[in-house]
Amino acid sequence: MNRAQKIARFNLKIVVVGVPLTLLTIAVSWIADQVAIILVGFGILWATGLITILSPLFVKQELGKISFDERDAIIEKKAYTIGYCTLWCIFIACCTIPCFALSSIPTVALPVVLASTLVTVRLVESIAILAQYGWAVRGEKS
Amino acid sequence: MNRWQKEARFTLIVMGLTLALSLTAVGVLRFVFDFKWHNAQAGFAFMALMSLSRVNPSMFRIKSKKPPLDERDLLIKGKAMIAAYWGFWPIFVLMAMAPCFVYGLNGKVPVIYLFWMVFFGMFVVMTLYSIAILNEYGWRNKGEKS
Repeated sequence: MNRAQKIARFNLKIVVVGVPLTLLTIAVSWIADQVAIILVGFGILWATGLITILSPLFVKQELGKISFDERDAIIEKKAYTIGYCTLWCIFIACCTIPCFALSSIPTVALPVVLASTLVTVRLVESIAILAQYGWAVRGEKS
Repeated sequence: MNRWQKEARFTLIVMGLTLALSLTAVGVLRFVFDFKWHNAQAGFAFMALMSLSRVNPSMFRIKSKKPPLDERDLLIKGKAMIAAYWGFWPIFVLMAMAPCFVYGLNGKVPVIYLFWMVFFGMFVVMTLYSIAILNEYGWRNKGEKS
């Protein structure tokens, strides 16, 4: 398993833990009728997004080994392209759907949209990378 | 200059023209005709000209027998798209966070702001994409003709 796969798996694990935790926190706050807990939920979502961005720092690179070749570059580029398309789909949907039902939205909704988009895009990119490598623990080691 | 370069150059020209016309119109309506800011924003209607960036004159020309693009062109196109992708993120963050600082956490944003987000995001992405393509080719009239 090479470094790109390790990073993608790391991101996937973070999202799999972070998103249900966020939803759970929001559900608890909804049931308990405590608005303050919702902010904690959004904080978790933000933390999840930030960790997925900074994931290359958490997966160490072994010195003296080439961990990236042309094939990896193509795979990464394809994953970014898929992420880019996803980003636009979510962005346009989030910006146009409220216009049909609301006249104004709370300002706190925008950072939540940003965090959700970030997490979704990173999740899609990670899945695209793993799918292109074949999901299994194979490929060049790094 | 090949097809991608021509398209990129045309897009940049249209974007620049659109922005200049819109700002001029808003300025004229506000300061010459003394319209209120809210009404003067009608000048941004010129932004509709942005759609012309997709109507490239080279589309209507008879196609030559040469292949329209090769691997290098595809590589450049891919790079330009990634540049636009990474360029869009800071703008998205800025547009999403700015209302929190302007209106406060308890404030509300009119939904028209969301339309502006989409519109401005597209403007930035198309401009960055065109600049990246022209930059990759070298900004000059060189390269394969098409």
